[in-house]
Amino acid sequence: MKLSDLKIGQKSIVQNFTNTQMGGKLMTMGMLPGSLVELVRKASAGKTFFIKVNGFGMAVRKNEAANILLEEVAN
Amino acid sequence: MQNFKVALIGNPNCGKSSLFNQLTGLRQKVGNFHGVTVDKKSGIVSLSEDIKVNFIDFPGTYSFYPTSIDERIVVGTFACPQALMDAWEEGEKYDGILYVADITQLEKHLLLFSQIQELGIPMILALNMVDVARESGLEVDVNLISKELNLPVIQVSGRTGEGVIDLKKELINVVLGKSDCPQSKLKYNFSKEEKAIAHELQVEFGLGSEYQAWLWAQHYAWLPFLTAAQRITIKTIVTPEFDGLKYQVRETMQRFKKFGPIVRQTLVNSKTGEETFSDKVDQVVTHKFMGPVIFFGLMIIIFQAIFSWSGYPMDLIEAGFGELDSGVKTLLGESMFRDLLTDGILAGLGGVLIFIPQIAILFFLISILEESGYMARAVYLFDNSMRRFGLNGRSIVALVSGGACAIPAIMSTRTISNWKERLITIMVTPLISCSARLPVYAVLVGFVVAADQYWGVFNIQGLVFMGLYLLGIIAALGAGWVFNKILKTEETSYLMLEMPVYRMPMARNVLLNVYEKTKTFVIEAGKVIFVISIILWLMASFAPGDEMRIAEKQATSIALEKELDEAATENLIAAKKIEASYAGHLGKFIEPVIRPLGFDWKIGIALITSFAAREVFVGTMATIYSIGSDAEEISVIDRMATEINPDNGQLVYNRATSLSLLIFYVFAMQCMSTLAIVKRETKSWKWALIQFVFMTALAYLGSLFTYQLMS
Repeated sequence: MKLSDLKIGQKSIVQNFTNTQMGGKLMTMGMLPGSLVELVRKASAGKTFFIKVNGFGMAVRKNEAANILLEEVAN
Repeated sequence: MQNFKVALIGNPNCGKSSLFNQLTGLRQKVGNFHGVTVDKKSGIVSLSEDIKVNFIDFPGTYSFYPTSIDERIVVGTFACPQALMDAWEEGEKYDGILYVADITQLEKHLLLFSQIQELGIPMILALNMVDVARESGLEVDVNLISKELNLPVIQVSGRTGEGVIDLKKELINVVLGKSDCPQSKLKYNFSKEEKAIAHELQVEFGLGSEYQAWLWAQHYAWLPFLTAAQRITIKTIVTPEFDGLKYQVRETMQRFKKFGPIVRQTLVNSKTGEETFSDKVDQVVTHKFMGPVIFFGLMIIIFQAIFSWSGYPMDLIEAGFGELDSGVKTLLGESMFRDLLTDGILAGLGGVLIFIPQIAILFFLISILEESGYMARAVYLFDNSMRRFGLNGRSIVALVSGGACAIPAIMSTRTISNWKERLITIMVTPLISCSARLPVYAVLVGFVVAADQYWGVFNIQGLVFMGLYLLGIIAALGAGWVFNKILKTEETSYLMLEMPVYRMPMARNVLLNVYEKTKTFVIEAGKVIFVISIILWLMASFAPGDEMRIAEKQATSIALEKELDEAATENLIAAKKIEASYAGHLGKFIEPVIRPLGFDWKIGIALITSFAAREVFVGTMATIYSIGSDAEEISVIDRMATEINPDNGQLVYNRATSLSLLIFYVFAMQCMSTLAIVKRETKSWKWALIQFVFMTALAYLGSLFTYQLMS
């Protein structure tokens, strides 16, 4: 599943990135395969995500989140 | 006495600036990094009786793989062999690196650390925010981490100053080469293909390490110190299949795998999983409805504060200049030089320096917002809305600081990696009403509405002010929307922004910032105003041929005819004289163009001088009117309020003209310094020129519309 499919409050583990350029940038900011992510809240009608990566806050766009692959979360 | 140079390096939000302020205090200088307009703060500090260190604060950087111009500085400097540095940029060789990492985010802050450590420059690791870490239950085994990373490690707090003395002591050892600085234990293991390239480059150019050669391979396209010939050689060695991005990912993964276990081994966290203070604040501040409400509330509070806090200090400055003026007048006898000094220079300077309190308050509040971590939340909240206008969420930082001054605001756009979004932000930011417009607004708003009128609890003047600011914001967004339709780009746009933990802004950081910015304003504006005041005074005091004498004669005879009293005669003579002067001729020359906007030739003179800088308007008015009248005690505002149009006997600054003039100042590009910065940041006069033309056109049409509607 993708980070953009996560529901508010759900957590999962990053598996991979489908866009290498974005992945490179995210990795330098501390988000790597194996990192724990949580979707905390959304703004602008769901277009902007407030997430936590290993407990640290970060803002990403919905289309950016769609490039981040996660381990499946049971609903 | 020995002099050394130490670079301060760290990730964004690692508290590096606080530590830099702790180390250097008021001994700071602001310059530029070689060839770019990125601020380079430095400060010389004596560490002992015979050791002086010049600390240089580098922009916050995540890794040797930069994604913005600011971030390029670190790798652009340190990929350069030390031996070459002297030739490339005078004396830029570094004797040591002070690497700053936030203990609470140690793992991710070690990425850049592990890259720099490979370059073999003596280094010390400062684990910052020890006070915050302790509060949140984080303990570091300093000896263990020092052993594992192979370098001196000191725990510090840039906020409280804890550990700074130990840090200075250890720094002496580092710069003198006394501290153990063995090889990094976190070296990158190249793959076979990577090693082949790195090795060939290392041999070809005789570089200190394979890793340095590797940086050349990754970044040779833009590394600033390389020559064209070197680039060509590198290009032949680096194969066309070179996939920099793939290698970057491999390197990053490997590095995190190497230092990750070390961090987990040395950090003990006794309290985990608790909801932090920041989380609680964010529940409200970044709430989808409450967030924007709070943002606009804050903006209103800021503008209210500017006006309610600044009254008393402004009165003091005004009184001070009044004293000075009459002091100089009694001290020096009547002479040309005295008039130049008082009516020219003092009047011009006083007209602007009076606005120091308002400007300082604005910078004070904006730097509190930045220091606390709030700005990042504003970016998160408005990213999507900003994009509709061709901007990036980060543009909100530029737009808000544009309320203080467009120059630092335009410089802050360097964090926007998408060129089109950055360009649009640069183009529209000067439409946000900056502090230099404040003096003009403050003078003119009184002619539109009286000071003591209230509408409910709101002061109407305050509302007009807010209306002017709103108009600027609307114009900025509208212009962005238009530029977005015209400009095309293939580049992708990113948000991906760290949300730092909220921190209480530190008085030291905020006050230093205010001091520095205000000082720059006073010096920069002062220089321009000084020169313009002199030119203006000369232009207003002399006339072509003997027109001055004829004007005086005419005025005297009119006065006799109409049997005017002494004061009225003086005023009439003065008015006729300025009309006959060079300045009068210039004003009259442009009068036909500005007549439809409701402006007379005196305002015309002010408009021309304001193209250097807006705040000159008030100085110009002061110069023109103090030459026009001998009544020194009357302030510019009072003088303007009673100015009568000789053609129709009505007030010059009536509601229509004043409002039209206000609208003109909201839109017009009247700041040489901003144009110069735009030219530097966009690397061409083209965009500066386009900006000048579109803003001036907007101003002219806006004023024309306003005046025609109102009169």
